[in-house]
Amino acid sequence: MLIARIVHADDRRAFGELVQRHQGMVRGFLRRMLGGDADLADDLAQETFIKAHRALRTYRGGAKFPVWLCAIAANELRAEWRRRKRRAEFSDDEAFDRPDTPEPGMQRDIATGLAQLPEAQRAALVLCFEHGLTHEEAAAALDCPLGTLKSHVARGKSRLRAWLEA
Amino acid sequence: MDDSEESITQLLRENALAPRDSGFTRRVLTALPQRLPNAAISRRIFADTTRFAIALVLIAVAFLWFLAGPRGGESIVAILLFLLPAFAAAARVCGPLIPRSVLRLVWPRGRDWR
Repeated sequence: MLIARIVHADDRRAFGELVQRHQGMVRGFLRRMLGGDADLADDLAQETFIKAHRALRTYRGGAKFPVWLCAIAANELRAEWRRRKRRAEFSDDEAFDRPDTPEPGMQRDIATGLAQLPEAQRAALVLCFEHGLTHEEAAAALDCPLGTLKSHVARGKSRLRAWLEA
Repeated sequence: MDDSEESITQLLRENALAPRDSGFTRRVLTALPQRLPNAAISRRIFADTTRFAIALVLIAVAFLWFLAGPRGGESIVAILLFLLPAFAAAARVCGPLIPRSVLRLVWPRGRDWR
């Protein structure tokens, strides 16, 4: 309904509602992936929503809207990494991001633990558990095979558990 | 799924990072491209179409010239010597002859991943 109002009537209030509804997931995902760099994450989140607005006419509802949005955010992330001459894909290498987290206690531990994980495992855990996507949806958002996604989830979970228990 | 796996899952759910504020919404809405009135859209379409037509006319003239001539390497050089400055001059006067949206179809690289 909201999407129809945006596409057919260019209703900016409706788009604002959409941003309000989904910004938590997009900004949270990007912050986790950027090791807590909130400013850069918000810049990419803004770019994600602007691209989504531009491409909304092409959204056919094949995937759930949050999944579609996450796929755009993941592409923004890859583009950012490419711009930085870093890795072009979610690599399975060791991560070197250190979170810049003001949160105390468990929040900080989780952020630091996630930041230790390779990007592919971190992305899988964040989307599946923090934002409640199914394995199929997360695989679609990250553009990777379902089996690969499941193995990232399993390995990420076990590494995170080991890190938190250490 | 054992208890410790369940507890990791639970921990991630409970400590999910999902920042949400109306300031960000305003920021996105401000950054959206401005809406153009219908008249401006019509003018833009007319200008783009005209420029594209000029480009097609130049290409057609070059092609006919090639067909009318001896069709050798020399005529290709001569045609290019005519075509390139003509394109450059027309683009300078009228703006880009081939709209970016069309160029992107041919050469989709760049920041826009779509």
